[in-house]
Amino acid sequence: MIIFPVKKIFIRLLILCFWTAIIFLFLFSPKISQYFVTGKSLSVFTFSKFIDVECIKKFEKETGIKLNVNYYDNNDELLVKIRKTGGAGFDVIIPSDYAVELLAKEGLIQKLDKSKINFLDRIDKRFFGFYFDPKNEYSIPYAWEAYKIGYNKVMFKATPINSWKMGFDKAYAPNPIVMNNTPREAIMLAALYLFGSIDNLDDEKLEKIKDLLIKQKQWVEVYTDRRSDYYLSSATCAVAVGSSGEIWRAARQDPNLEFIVPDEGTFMIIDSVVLSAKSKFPDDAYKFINFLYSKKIVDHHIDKYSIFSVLTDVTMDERSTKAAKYTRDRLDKVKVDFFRNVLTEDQMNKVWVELKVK
Amino acid sequence: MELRRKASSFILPSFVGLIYLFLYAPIIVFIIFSFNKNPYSLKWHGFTFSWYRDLFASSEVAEALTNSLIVAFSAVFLSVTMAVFYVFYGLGSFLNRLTILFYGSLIAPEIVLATCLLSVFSFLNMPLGIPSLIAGHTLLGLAYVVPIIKSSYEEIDNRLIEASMDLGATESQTFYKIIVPILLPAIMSGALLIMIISLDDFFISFFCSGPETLTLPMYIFSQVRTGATPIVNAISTLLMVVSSLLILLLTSFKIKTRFF
Amino acid sequence: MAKRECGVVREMSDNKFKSSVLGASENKSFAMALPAVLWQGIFLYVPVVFIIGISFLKGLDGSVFKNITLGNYDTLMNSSYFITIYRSVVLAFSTALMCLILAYPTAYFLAIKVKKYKNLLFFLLILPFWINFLVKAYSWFFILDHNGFVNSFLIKIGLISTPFHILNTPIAVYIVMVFCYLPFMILPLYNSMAKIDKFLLEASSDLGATAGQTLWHITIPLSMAGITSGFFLVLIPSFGEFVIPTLLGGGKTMYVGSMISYFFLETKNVFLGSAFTCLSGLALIFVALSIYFVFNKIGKKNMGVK
Repeated sequence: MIIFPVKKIFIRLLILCFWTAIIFLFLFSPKISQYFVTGKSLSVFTFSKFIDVECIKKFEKETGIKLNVNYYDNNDELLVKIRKTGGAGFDVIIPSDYAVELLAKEGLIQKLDKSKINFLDRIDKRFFGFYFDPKNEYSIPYAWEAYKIGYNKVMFKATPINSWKMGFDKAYAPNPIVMNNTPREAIMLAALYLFGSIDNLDDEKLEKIKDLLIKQKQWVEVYTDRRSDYYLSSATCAVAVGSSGEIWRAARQDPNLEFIVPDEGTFMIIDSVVLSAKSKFPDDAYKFINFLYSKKIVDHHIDKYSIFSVLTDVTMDERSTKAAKYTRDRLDKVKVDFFRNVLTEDQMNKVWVELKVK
Repeated sequence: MELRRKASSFILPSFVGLIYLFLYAPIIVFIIFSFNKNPYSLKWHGFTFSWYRDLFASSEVAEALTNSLIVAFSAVFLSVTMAVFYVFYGLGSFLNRLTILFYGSLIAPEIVLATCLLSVFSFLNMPLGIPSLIAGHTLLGLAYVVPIIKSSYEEIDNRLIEASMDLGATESQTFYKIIVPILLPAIMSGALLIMIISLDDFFISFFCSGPETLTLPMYIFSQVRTGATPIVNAISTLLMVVSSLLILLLTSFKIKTRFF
Repeated sequence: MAKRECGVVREMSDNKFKSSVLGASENKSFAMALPAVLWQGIFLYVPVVFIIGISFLKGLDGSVFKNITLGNYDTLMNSSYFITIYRSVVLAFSTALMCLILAYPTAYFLAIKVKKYKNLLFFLLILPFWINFLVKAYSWFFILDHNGFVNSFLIKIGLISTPFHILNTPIAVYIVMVFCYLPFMILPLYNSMAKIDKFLLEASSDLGATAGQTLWHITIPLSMAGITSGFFLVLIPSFGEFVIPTLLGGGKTMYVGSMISYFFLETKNVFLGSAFTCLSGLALIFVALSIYFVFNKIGKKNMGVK
């Protein structure tokens, strides 16, 4: 006769459930503990060379609200992280324009209450009303960038020409170059170079873009978003393709570096401040945003990170003012576009993966 | 014959010397650069302690270090406790035949572990924070600690336990007064190993870190990515000094550091 | 049951005796021993099964579950993905091989030859473990760069006139991979060699064997356990490594690790990412088993000859 130890199995199952419950309690404890937490905290999610953590700690001292600053490398990473939690855990986010459009569409950010913002009149009116947020319901512009080609005067022996050929055509730029590492930006740049526009990109055109990028890879020294200043200054690479946040910062610190804005046109990026839909302390978030845009803080960040601010009353050193003016003049003359969401992720993935693997 | 012996007794030590040099080259580099006035360039610009001052003034570093230590100590505590109980109470039962399960974490590359954890955590809408990191690190830790403690425990002479029971000790007295002290070397080396793994772990922190947890490896990674490493060099130099002292202290207690 | 005999006779029942003599109830034993196994199950095996499961799903935008399909694997039947996996296998294998070649003499020296400074050398070997590997990997930047130590030194002594292009090439990746994983190979080798009875080696040379013969017929077979465990301790993690290739390779090539991190952290398509993870996992298992099989054969052969 087989004795089926029912009681033993039952007790063991109970013990199993008990321990499983304890483990899950442990794992979910942050969610539970946040109901008991009395202190306020704000989470700021920004591009890594925008915000000086030590500087904004002043906000903590002034208001007693703790700040958690997190960084992202490119906007794709930002989108993935925010989508994962549905916006929970984030408060103030500083994405680029195309990410703002996607975030708004997916309901991950909330409409801004303009009455709580005290600096709208200090922003240059030219930066309102762009494609990604025509009425600026969700976002306030923070800084602007333009795509440029930076080069090392000493190392680049030929005469620089005002064209993307310097980045895409080996005949014009014989030395190794630094290329940007964001899939969307690289692909759309190639599209602009080959076809003059990023609209109506079908599979055939994407193939050509892919071939161009693969060909370019032969003389790319490194793909990077944030180390181009090092490669230019150390004269390892003569040319770098990147956004002005990178290129101008490098050129500002090293007088041997120059930049051009090509004739074929270029892309502009508007970095904006948005508020997460599931922000726990929206009022405090507004306080922080006001703090961030206060003149002293903006001046500090401009000085430290060489960004181009959208505010009208900031102080920039002479060279930066000249560089900003030059860029703006060039942007008025050439075709300017944005990295709009005209390509699906799958399309960009296909090109990017094959580029990196070859 | 003499010459050949002299030559061969020279080649091997010098080869090993080169290997050690290879292992220490970057360490020497970052120690030197932690004192360099301008560590972004490759030339020596003058001696300075300023990076160390920045290090102690930085609140980010303090936060990262605190979080990392919390996670590390919790992981050590959980791994060792669970492992010891598993070995002690489970010996002989069918649970112990499942010991081979613990080798699973060693067989999979860490990136696979991290992505699997991430997927499950996001599927269950679990908040990513310190508990999830502790969970991952304990997982790694168990794989190393269980075999160490198990083999150490199996070597304990039965007669000791028998004698202790015969002399009237209860089960917990036997456990705390006899078995734990004998297992102490294994426990200590296991704990040390988990500390190192947890403080150095990158993959699990990278994939499973939430918006509010900054750990030391993540901080170092964000600095290294942008090329701004003076504070990182200072931290690593200090860590090296601290850990050397720790190791010297522990070995002075004559603890066998057997890793495998 | 051999309970009362001296511990010479080690039977299977010894373990049961150890726990039974303690008088803990069976249920209590189960309760105390369970957490460890439960932890493994919940945090390792359930997630792995989960990943395998969702690799068969596809969704709208690749993010929302829609239907069960082999579609993801279909997408992966593309040469780019196979090339990536192949590249990672080659990198992992060559790293492990070079580590073995460099580590074996070192471990031999430490375990068998060295008498006096053994503790100091061992301490120096363990110390680098405490340094975060990112810092060590990044410091190689300064060594391998155009204006770095290696190039500056070689130019100074006049050996070369233009700097070697080492950084941002596969060579830099290979060097730093070997550097990072070398200690993982040295330790198990050292452990298994330390167990070799030195008298065997003495006896072998007394009987007229040359150093080479002793090495091949005695030392290597006896250290086979260490060779195998060290080899796999390097092979498996370096297969999934992506930080070193990205940091030192210039971001120009994708390996399995960077592909997985790309899928999970920069795209919405978690299902495709899981499918790729499973595929590379299978490839790794296949490679690892083949290598293990070969090692076993070598081990048996050498034992037989002896």
